[in-house]
Amino acid sequence: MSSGDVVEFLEIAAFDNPDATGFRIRFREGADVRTEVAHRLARHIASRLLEPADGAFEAWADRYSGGTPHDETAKGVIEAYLVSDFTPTKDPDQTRLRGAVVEHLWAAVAAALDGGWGMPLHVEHEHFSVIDHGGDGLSFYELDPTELTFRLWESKRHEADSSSVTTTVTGAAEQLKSHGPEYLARISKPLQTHRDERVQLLAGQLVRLWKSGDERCAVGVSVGTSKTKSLPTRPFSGLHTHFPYSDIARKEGVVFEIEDLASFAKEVRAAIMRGIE
Amino acid sequence: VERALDPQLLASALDGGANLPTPSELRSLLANAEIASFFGAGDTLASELMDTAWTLHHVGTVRPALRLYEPEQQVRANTVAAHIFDLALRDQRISDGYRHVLTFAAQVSSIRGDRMPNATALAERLQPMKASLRSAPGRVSLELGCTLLGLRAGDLRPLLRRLGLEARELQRQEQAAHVGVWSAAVNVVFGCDDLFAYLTNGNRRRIDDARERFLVAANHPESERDLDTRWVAGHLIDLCDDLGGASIWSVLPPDTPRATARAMTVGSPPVMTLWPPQIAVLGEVMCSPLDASIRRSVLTFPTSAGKTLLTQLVIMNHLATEDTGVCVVAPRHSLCREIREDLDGRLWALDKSIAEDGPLGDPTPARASVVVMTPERFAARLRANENELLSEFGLFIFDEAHLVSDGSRGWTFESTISRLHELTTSTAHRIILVSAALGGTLSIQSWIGASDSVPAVVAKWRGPRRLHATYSVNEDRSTRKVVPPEGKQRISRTVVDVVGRVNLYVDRGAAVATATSKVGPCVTAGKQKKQPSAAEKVQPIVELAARAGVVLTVHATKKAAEALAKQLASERPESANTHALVLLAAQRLGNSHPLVDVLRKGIAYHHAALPIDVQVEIENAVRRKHLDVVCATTTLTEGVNLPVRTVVICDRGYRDRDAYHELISPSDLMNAAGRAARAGRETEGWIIVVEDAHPTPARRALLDLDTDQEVQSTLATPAAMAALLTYEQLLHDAAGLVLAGVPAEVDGFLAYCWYLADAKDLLDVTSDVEAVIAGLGSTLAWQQLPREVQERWEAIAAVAVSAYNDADVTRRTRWARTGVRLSANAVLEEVAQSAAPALLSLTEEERKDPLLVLRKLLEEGRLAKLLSLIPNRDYRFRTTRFGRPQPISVDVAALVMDWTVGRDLTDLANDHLGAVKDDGFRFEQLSDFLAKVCEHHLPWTVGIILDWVATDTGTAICQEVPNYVHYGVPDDVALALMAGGVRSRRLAVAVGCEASAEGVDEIRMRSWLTTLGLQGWRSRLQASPAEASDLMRFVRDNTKGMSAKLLGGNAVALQLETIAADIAVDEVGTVDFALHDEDPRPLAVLDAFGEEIAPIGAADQRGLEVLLEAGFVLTATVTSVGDTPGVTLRLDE
Repeated sequence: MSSGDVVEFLEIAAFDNPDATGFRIRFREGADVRTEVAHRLARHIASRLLEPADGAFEAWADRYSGGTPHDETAKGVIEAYLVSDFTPTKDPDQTRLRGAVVEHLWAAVAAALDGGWGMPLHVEHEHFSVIDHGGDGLSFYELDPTELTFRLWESKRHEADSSSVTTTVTGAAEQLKSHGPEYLARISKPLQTHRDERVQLLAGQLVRLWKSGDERCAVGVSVGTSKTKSLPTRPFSGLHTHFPYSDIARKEGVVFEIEDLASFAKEVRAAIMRGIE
Repeated sequence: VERALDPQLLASALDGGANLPTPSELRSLLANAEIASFFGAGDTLASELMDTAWTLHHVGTVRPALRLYEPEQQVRANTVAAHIFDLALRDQRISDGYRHVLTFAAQVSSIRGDRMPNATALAERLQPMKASLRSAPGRVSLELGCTLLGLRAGDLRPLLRRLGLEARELQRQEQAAHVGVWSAAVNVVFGCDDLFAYLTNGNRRRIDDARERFLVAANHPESERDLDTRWVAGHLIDLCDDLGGASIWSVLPPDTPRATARAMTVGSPPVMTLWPPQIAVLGEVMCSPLDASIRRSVLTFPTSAGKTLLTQLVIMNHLATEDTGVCVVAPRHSLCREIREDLDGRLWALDKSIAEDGPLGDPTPARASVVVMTPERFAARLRANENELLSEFGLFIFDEAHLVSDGSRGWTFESTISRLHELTTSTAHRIILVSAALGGTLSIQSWIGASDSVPAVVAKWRGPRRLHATYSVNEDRSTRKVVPPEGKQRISRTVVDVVGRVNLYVDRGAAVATATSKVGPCVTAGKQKKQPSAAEKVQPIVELAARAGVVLTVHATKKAAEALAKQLASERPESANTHALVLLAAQRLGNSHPLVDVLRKGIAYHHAALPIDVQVEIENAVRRKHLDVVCATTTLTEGVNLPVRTVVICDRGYRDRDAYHELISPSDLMNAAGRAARAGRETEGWIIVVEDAHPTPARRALLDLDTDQEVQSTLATPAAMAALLTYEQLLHDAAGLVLAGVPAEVDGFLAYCWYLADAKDLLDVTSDVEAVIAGLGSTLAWQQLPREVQERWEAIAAVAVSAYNDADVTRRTRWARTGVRLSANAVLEEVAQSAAPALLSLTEEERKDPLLVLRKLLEEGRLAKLLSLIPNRDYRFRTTRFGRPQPISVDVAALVMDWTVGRDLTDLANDHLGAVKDDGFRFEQLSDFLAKVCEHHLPWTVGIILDWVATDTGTAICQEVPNYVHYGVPDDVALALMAGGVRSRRLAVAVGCEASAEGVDEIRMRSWLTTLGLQGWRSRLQASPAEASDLMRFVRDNTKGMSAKLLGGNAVALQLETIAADIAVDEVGTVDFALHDEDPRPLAVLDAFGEEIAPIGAADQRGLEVLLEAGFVLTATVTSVGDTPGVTLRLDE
C-alpha cells in the first residue's frame, strides 16, 4: 500500500506564514470520505508496521476482509506489532491513540510533502520505548550525493477545547528543544552502524549539529486538530521562536484539520482491530 | 579532591562547537547539583545540565571508527556525562523505565570514561530484573544491558539462562530464526550470553559472535521501532571492544596459565575486567608484578583503585606457576581475617588452601598454600627459623606497608622486611609492598631495592568520586542575650546560640556552599558555662549525611564513639532492621549493655573493646545496610572493606592542659577516608572532617589526603632522636650495655642488632660489628638518616654486638629469637628460672594440662613480672571513666584464669569488675585488658618461657598453653575451632561443652558437627548467622577438591544423608538453596519442580555454594536411593 492511497482523499494546501514551510491538510469534500480515509489509514498503518513480519500483513488483511480468525500464534505476532498504540486497555483516555493517528497521518503524507529538502532518504519514526518523550520521527535527506541532512519531527494532537493550535505547536517545539539531544543521542547509536556510510557519519554528528544549530539540521512539527475553521495566522511562531533558523526550509509545519479527531481516531482503531480480532 | 570537577577536565570534555555551557558554568551547575544532592533536596536536574549530559554522552560514545573525536576528548566527555547522569539518578521521582535508560547511559559513559567500577555500583541500585521478552523486549534489553555492564555474574548467569529459554521458545513458536519485533531483543540476549561467556572463559570466538549479534540487533528491519533495544545493541557493539580490552583474558600476558584467569572470573566475587591502574601495571613489560623475574615491587594505590584485586591476581598466578606458597602479612587480625575470606572465595578454583597463622607463642605454624599473619607473627617465624620460612614461601606480600612508620609497631615491621630482603637478595623470592599511603616511594624503593632495580607503581586513579566538607561549631556572638535571674537564680545568664557550619568543597578551591544549623544554647552564669556536648555538636551533620546513605563516624577514642552513638540513638525511633543484631548483642553483652540500646535504633558503635564476633556482626549489618550510622574508632577503618557513603572524622585526638595529642595520624585519616565510596559499590562519597583542636585545620587535613605522605622510619623521627640521646647518656655513665631504663625506640634497635649478630653467627660469618652494621644498611632508616646519625646508632650497635659476644651461647640464640625488646629478655630469663622448679613439681600428666601449667607458671609473682614488661595502664582498672581515677583492686591472675577456662564475658565483667558501675566502661576496660594482655602479651611471653624451661630441663610441658590463653578457651575442641577460623569464643566454648557431653574429641569433632548440620547448630548451639557461616567454613571438606573438579567439567559423586522416599534412580534435579529466609541458607537437592528431595551435608555446602554464588547451575542425577542415597553432580554452564 502506498501513501498515495490516503493522500488522494486529502486536500493538501500550502499554508503561507513567515515562520515555517507550512501545510494545511483536510479531508476532501464528499460522502464517506472520512470513513474511507480511516480505513485506508488503518491499512497503511498495518502495512507499514507489519511489513517486517513475513505474511503478517496478508493475514491481517484477510481477516480485515472477513476471512477466518487468526490462530493464537498469528494473532500474537500481529498484536505485537500493532498493539502498542492501538490497544484500548492500555490507553483508557485515548490520548495516545489520537497522538498515534496524527503521527501515522504524517507518515502517510510525508512523501507527498516537499518541505524544501525533497524526499527523505531514510526515516526513523514512532519508536516504542520505556520512555515516551523525545522526537517522534527523524528523516534523513540527500541534498547532494556526499552530504546528508536531517529533520527531527514531533507530532502532536491538538485538544481543541483547551488551547490554541499555536500553543500546541509551541509545546511540540519546546519538546523538541528540551529532549532533542536525548532522543538524537539514543537513535544515533544504532545508526552509526547503518549500511550507508553517509548515514553512519551523520549519525555520529547528530547531537553536535543539533546543539550548534548547524545548517544540516532541521525541525518539523505536525499537529492534528479538530478545529477546522479558524486556524491562527501564525500557528508556527513558536517553532520559529525556538528554532530561529533563517532558512525557512529548515522549519516545516503541518496541520491536519480533522473534524472530531477523537472519533476519527476511534474509527481508525476499529478498522485496525477488525484485522486482529 | 574530585577530578571530575576540575575546570581543565571540563574544558577538554566540552565540545566547543556544540553550544554547551562554558567550563565555569558547567562546574557551577555540577557543584549546585552536588550540593542539592548532599542536602537531600532531590531536585530534578536543570534541563541545561541534562542537555549537556546527553550531548557529552553522544560525543563520548560515537564509534571510534568514525574518527569524529579525539579519543582523549571522548574519555573526558564520558567522565562528565556519567557524573551528570549519576546525579540525575538521585531523583527518586523518575519512572522505573527512565531510571533504566539513565542507568545504562551512565554505565556506558562510566566504562568508556575509564570509571568501570561505577558501572557496577550503578547496577547495584537497580531492582531485580523482571520484564519478559514477549511482553516488553525493549525493557528486557535495557535491564539485561544494565545487569551485563554491572558485571555481576551471580545475577547475570541465571538471568541469561531464563532469557535464553524464553528466546528459544519464541523461536520455536515462530519456527524461524527471525522472530519479528522480538528479533533485535533476542539477538541482544544471545549476544550478551556470548559476551559474558568470553569474559568468563576467554573464548575469542564468542566475543566475535557477540559483536555480530549486536550488529544485527541494532539494524534489524523487523525491530526498527524498538528504540531501546537498538540503542542498547548499538552501544554493546562498541563495548565488546572496551570490555574485551579490559578483560582478564586480554590483559594477562599470553603465557599466563589459564587457571590464573579462571580463578578470578569464577571466584567470589567474579572479576571479569580490570581497571585502568591494574591494566597499566600489568601492561608494564619491565615491572609487571606477575613477572616472576621482578623480585621486588612497591604498589602504591589509593583506596578504591583495585590494589586488593591486583594482589589477589599476583597470588593466584604465583600458585598456578610456582611450587612455593604465599605469605601475606597484614597489620590487624581483622584484616588478616578479611584477606583470608576474600582469597578463600577464589582459591577453590585452583584447588588451593588458605589459613591464618596462629597467635604469638603458638608453636605450630599454619600449613596452607597461602598463609596470612600479622607482622609480629611473621617476625617471630622468621626469627625462629629463617630457612624454614624461605623454603615454604616464595612470595611475600606486605599489606598496609606504611605501618613501617607506626610508632609502636613500625620498627618490628621495618626490621623484619629488611632482614627478609637481605636474606633473599640473590634468591628467587619475591617481596611486594602494598599500601595506599606510601607516598615517599623513592626511599621505599631504594630500601628494598638497594643495588637492584625496583619498579614502583603509583596510581592516582580512583573509581568513585570523592567530595569534601568541613564542619565547625562556634558560638554566634550576634545572638548574645542577657537573661535576668529567675526563681532562685541570683545572677543573670548570658545565652549565645551555638551554630554548626558545614562548608562543601568540590575541588581544591574555596567552598562552593555553606549551610548553618543551630546546635543549641551556650549558657554562661558567672564562671559556670554550659554548652552542648561534643556529641550534640556533631549530631546535625551526621544526621544530614545519613539521609543519603550509610555514615561512618570516626573517633580518636572509644568514649567519643559511644557518646555520639548514644546521642544519635536518643532521638530516633526503633529500627526494624536490627532485631537479630540486638538479640545477639544482648546475648553476648547482657541486656543492660549500652550497645544494645543504640542498636535498637539502627545505630552502632564499634571499637576494639567489643567482642570480635559482635564486631563482625556489626560489620555485616553495615554491608547489608541494616545500620544507618556506625560510630567507630580506627579499628574499623584499617583496611576492612565496608561500603559507606560518608565518612565523618569527628575528632583526630584530644587536648589536655599541655598540648593536643594526635591519635589519628595522617595515614590513619587516609585509611578512614578510604572507606567513603568503595569502588563497585558507590559512585560517590563524602569525607567530612570536623574542626577540632588539632593544629592542622580540617580543610588542610582534607587537602593533605591528596598529598603523598612521606613514610618515615621510626628511627628517623624526633622521638627516636631524643631516645638516642638519652641512651647515649646512659652508656656514657656505664661500662657496657645498659638494659635498665632503655627508651623503647632504642630497646627495639638493640634487639635487632642482637638478632643480626646471631644470624651472622649462624651463617658462619664473623660475628663482628661490620656484619651487623651491614645488616642495618638494609633498613629503611639507613635510607633516610644522615650519615652522622647513622654513625651514632652504629656506635650503639657496636655495644650490643660486644654484649652478644660476651654472652653464653644459649643466651645469644634465645635473646635473638624472642622478638621482645632486648631488655625484656632479662626479665623473661628471671621468670623462666623461677618457673622451672614450680613446673617440674607437677606430675607428667599434670604438665599436659594447659590450665594447671598456666596457673603454676603465673604463681609466686611471676605474672606481675611478666606484666611489668608492658605499661601498667594495660592491666590496671578504675571505677569511672571521668574525673580523678579511683583504682580498683582486681585479682588479675584469677581474671586470666577465668578467661582461659572460657567463662562468659558478662560473667568476667561482673565478677572481676563489678565495682565499675558504668556497663560500657566495665566492658571497655575488660576488653582492653583481654586484647592487650590475654590475647597478645601473655601468649607471647608464656610461650617463650615454656620453650626455655622445656629445653633447659628436658621435660615435656604442654606447649599449647599460649593458644589457650590467646583464645580464652578451656579444651582441645574449642581450641581447634578457634584456630580453624571460628571467630566466636562463645560458640567454641559451647561446642566444646556439647562435644564433651557427647564424648566427642577434637579428632571426631568435625564429623560430629557436620552431622549436627545447620539446624543442630542453631538449636543446640544457638549459633548466630555469622557463627553458622564460620562453622560452615570450618566443616568444609577440603580434601575432595569438589568445586575445582566440577569447574573442570568433571562429574562428582556425592553421598547424601537421606533422600525423599518417592525418588527413583536416574531422576535429574538441581542443587540450590532450599530456604530463602535463613542465614546462611542451606543447600538441598531439588527435583524438577523445585521441591526439596534431600539436604546437602554441611561439609559439602561451602564447596557447592561458591559455584552457585558464581551463578552456575548444578545438576544432580540420583544414583542410588534407600539407606545409602547418592547423586552425581555436574556443572551446567
